[in-house]
Amino acid sequence: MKDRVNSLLLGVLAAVVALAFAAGVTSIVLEVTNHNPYDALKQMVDYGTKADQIAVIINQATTYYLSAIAVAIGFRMNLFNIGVDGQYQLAAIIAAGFGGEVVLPVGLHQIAIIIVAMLVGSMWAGLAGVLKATRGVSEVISTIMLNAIATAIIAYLIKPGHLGHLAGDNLTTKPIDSSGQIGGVDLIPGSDVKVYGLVFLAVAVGVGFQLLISRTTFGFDLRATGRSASAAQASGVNVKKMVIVAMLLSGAIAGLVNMPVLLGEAHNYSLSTPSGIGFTGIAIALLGRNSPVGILFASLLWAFLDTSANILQLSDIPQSVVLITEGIVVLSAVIAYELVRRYALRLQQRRVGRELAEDPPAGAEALGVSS
Amino acid sequence: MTAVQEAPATRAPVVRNRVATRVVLAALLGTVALSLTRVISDQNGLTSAGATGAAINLSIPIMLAGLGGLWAERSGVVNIGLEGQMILGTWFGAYFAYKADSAWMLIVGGIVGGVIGGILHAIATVGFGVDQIISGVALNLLAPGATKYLSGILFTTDQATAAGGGETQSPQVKQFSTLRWIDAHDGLSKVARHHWFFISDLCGVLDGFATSLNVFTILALLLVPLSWFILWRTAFGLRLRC
Repeated sequence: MKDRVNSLLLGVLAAVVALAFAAGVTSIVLEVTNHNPYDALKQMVDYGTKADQIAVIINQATTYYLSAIAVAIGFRMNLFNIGVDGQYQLAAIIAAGFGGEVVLPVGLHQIAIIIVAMLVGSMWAGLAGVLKATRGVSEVISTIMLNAIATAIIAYLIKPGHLGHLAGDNLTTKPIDSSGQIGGVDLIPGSDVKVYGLVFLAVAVGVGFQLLISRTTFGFDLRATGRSASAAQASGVNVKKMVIVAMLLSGAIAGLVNMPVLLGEAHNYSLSTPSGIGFTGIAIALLGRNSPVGILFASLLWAFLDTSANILQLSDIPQSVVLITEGIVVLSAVIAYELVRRYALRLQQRRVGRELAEDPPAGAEALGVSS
Repeated sequence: MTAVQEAPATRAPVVRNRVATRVVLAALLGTVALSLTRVISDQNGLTSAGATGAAINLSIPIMLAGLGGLWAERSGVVNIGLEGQMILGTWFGAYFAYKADSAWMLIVGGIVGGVIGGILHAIATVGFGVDQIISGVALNLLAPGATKYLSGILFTTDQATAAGGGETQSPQVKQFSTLRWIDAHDGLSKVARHHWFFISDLCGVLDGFATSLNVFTILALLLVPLSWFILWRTAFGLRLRC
């Protein structure tokens, strides 16, 4: 128990140190380029804590959170699902196309769209899982390739005559009927911006992920495989099956990434649907140490940086300065976590060593050696 | 390879010749395939000097990235961060070339940028033992942000904007002039114009080489045999591959 508290504290400390380091580097960058870092931060905090902006940040973080959880499921068993990006976009366009073409009763419509998205996402990720399990193809390579293929498929599907319709100079899928939309909720008092209704789905996914990992046999097998595939195999875990199931799960969550936006705001998939959230998800999962709570904070931080950077334009600071902060925070966080892991390991070894030295083995005591 | 080790003095040239023969054969077969495709599809532009030149220039960046990957993989590093290193190289190349007003500084800057990315990657992976893929992903995240910020500061000055710079692009920089081998071009283009099966195609492709290479493309192409030599024929290369 003491070990767990210690390692938790160390983890938080590492994250804080990484954040401080990133803030320091960003300050130096700003200072060198003749901007006042304190003013910049103050502006960002002032702007980012307005009611409207808080709602925007929560909405943005919802999307990031789902993406990072999808990545984290893979990471927990040492699978690098680089393909969340392709999975969520492919799932988004097919689910949007499906949702636009059919009209179902309220309730059923939303659920059907979400299930389609999860199925598409998990099938696309499952391809990489099957390739890895049956042919030993590195999932890093195959998911990168599948991203490229997904991009091409989307370009084909969005054409007029397939799923796309021309709207101005934008191509969109048919808008989802009101029976399939999910309205926003007034979560933030005083804000004109509504929070996506599916924010609760993201919370449920986080809780579900935690329960799955820590309270089920499957989660135990998953983590065991992540620590050492050969040891897990030796103790009776079917590693190949685990690879496929983990990829299917990861892909299903990836399929959800665009759902809050699709059902809550955009109601269609278009050329302006954001891309690249899968890669942001990788960064956030790393920063959040693959734990649902860590990822929650990391995605809120990320969304805060992205949103509040808009204000920097007013003082002629390139917005891209936050990209530097984000990049450095991830790089220094992974380094800090690695250092902490080694330090905790050493502490534990030392403690065990000390305990062994202090208390002679119980057997020896019984024999009266120690008296 | 074992044959080479048993009797290097006598067998090595034979092996090298065999490789050379294979390369020439592959090139000829490729040309025949192109030629056939041209005749069947009736697209005469396929083997023209212009198409070949464009193909060469498009393949150079991919080839260089591939070489970067080769060096990393052969030393046992999975270099997901190649993308970030390329971005850094491109930005520093453009900046150096713009500041020094010289195309040669483009190469220097490109190398400097790539090396900065490599050092960051190495600090994280070798120095701190961070997973290589994770470090590469972080690098890919950092590089576009850093270069975009730097562009916003350094390419938007009045002087730079006047030269065509902006937040998303560098000012126009000096280029290497294309080396044209006029004598060869004259002869080759004459033959190529007749659209004879194979012969014209071969001449068209060769014409592409004669008219679209520049100093940088040639240097880049020379990096292939150079990499092979360093990695497989020197003590350093052997240590790296181990």
